[in-house]
Amino acid sequence: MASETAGSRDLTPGPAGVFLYFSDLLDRAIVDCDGHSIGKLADLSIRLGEPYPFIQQVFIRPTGQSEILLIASGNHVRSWTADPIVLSARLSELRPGRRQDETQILLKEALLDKQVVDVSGAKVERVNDLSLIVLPEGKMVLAHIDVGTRGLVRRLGWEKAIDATVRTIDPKSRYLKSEQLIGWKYVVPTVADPAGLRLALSQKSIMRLHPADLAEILEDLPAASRQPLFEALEVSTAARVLSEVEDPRIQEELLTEQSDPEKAADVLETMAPDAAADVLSELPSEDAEKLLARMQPEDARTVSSLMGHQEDTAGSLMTTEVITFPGTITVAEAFRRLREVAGNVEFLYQFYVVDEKRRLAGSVNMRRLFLGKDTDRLADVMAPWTISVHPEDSPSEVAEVIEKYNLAAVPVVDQDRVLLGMITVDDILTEVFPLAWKKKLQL
Amino acid sequence: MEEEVATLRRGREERRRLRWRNVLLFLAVIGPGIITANVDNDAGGITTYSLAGAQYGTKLLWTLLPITLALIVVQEMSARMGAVTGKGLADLIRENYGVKLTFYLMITLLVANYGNTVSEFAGVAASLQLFGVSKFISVPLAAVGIWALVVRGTYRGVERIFLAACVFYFVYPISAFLARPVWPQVLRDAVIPTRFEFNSGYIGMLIALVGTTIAPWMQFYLQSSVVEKGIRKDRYWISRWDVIVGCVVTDVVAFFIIVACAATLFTHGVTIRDAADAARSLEPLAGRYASSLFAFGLLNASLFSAAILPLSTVYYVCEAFGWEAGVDKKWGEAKAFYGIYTAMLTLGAAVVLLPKFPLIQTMFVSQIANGIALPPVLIFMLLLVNKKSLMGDQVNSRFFNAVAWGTTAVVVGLTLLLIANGFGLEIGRRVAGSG
Repeated sequence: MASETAGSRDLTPGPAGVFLYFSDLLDRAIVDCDGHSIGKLADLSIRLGEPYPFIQQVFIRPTGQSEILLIASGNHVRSWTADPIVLSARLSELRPGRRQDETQILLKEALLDKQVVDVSGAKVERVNDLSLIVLPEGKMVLAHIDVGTRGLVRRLGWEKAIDATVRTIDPKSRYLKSEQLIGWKYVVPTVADPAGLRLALSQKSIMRLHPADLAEILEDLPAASRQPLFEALEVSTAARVLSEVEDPRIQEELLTEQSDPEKAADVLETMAPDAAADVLSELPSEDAEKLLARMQPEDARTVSSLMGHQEDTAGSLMTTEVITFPGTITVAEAFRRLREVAGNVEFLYQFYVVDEKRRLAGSVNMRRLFLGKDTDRLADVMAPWTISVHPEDSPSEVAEVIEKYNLAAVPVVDQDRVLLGMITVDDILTEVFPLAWKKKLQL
Repeated sequence: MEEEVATLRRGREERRRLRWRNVLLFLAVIGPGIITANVDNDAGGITTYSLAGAQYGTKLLWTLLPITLALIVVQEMSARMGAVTGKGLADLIRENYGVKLTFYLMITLLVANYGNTVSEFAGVAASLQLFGVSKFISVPLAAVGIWALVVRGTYRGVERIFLAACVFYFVYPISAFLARPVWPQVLRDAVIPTRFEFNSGYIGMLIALVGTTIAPWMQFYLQSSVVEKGIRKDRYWISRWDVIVGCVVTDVVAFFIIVACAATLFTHGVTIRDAADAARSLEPLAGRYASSLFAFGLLNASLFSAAILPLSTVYYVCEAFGWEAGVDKKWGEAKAFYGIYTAMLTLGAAVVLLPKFPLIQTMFVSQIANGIALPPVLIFMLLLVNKKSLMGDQVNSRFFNAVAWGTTAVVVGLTLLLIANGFGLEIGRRVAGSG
């Protein structure tokens, strides 16, 4: 799906050492340095934001207790591979307690059997097991999560039986070698405090994911996990992701359930005005009003004017983010002005020449600008035809115009030919592309 | 305490202020409960209620009141868990109880729901046989049609047609009235329990009545629907009404099916051997058109459930194991999803095509299987809904716990009785054989 953007899956074990499965360690007996039995291993914690995180704390359930957990530091384990696990500390040195802070997560509580985001495959996966590596000096790190069928079978305790069966049927079966491990550095947990999640995201290659892939991941996650992940994204990423989310119900939920309404408004400001208007017009009018009130007055005005257009018309599809020039300036001047605004504009291929009343006079694209001489006036290099559509035209009419004249964007004008905005080819494509087959069949 | 009262009062005031908005909200939130209720009255449901009326007259009507109460409580728990946690039931079970328990529960449900799927196709076969269509034509056509409808994503539009066709159930109350049952008797039997009978027929019927009304798969389906609809804590109180209305509708329909069958079939000593017999319960209303009317209703119910039930089963199995699911995924991406779904439909349809396949019995027995599979699901639901870490202050009240645990205990008790009875018969037969 997004293998190009996310990079290939990394299966090489980083550090060399002994592999262990977390499911094998769980409930294993633990003894202290004097050989006294302490209890059983209940959980392990790691610090977020490290590619190969060391085990920080060992949570031990004392024999006969179910409520209180004893904590030992990860450094106090003499031998991870032994059964029972041997600590280098005394029982009396252990203290009861909970997880230290939000920069740590517990493997069982937050990862095992839970859903996580696999950044390398741009997918939501369920964790069947975790693979740990004991380094030569005795410390243990978390290396991979296991999302494969073999992991599932191992947890069920049928590994030997199934392996033997498969081997008799087909000794070369792919199943016998197919460990589906994902390097921890590509994994983002979905159960974590917002602060912890932000820390996790900062180290992961999640920023290499295309916003469209991120949007699909959000849609695949259970509702409860969407919000924290969305909130952990930076405003600019969040804005692009939000406009890529297809289900209007999820868009609404992501916006209205933002813990910080100020950030929701920031996200809307950062979005292209047409996309922001689309999202807001799906909201209950009360919620939309509240968000508009928090936006910069200017952005809010643009967006709410776009919201006034009837659904499924050119007006509702257009963006007001259009670059216009007077016909009197030179090509060199046009380039200078373009450089100034380039950072704030999404679509930078098509510009329009307007008169002092903002009436459409002609169009200029990058190609025409590059071919012109620095001293040429725009009125001389522009295409003199002014193909345009009206706000009340239907999407299919707009698509026909764009197709017929091979345009990257078409301007929208009113009866007096005053330029209102433009519709880009990608916006019209999403509109007329037969999406029916893609629509999720919601239960 | 005072604070609570104040919060309540404030909540109530806010609700009044938002009255008009509420109407709109209600329309946005309503649906999952009503749809679940109508799918609940599927081929197995119609058959079980018809058999109950034909074999026992109005004697089993009293069970409907406690069953309705239990249904409301259980469904409300599902909807509340969906709204508070934002996760499906299979999801919650896997995350809280690990892979092993989830696996065996899913296997149980796959088997029970496979039985249900078979019963839906039996319903298709039985109903179209009344129109003279051979099952060798109707069942494969239905299977292929439903498969295509769902996999190509066009199901959503058709759902409204199914739902609209559910007005069919109104024919039962009318037919029941026209059949002139002895109303004082009917009402008495509806409230006062009749004598318990210790035989496997009676106990099996009780389990089937519970199992068909409070079906295990419904809890998964309802919870997922609530999550998918984006219903959250603040709008949850509307969803609660959706659920209650749906449950009451289900059981009012059940009530009148039983009364209609009691007044027409039981009084004339007719036993139901095939769909034509069951259709005679509509004769007071429809006369010689009764069998066409019944066939139409049964066909709609069967198709509606055949479209939803196998699909929802596959969804939550995939949800539990983290396999890609959804008809928006390609075959290569979601092999398990499409594979299990296709297998359920084809195997479900294939079994019905066996020569001399007992249609009515299958529809009934699958509901007993539902009943037997219910307690494990209820136990998981109860454990989850009482977890503070998941539900916060939305954990079950004592009353809800009592009703739900009570239901679990009763069904387990009945199942044990049924097994004991079966063994009893077996032993009796052996003794008789050896002697």
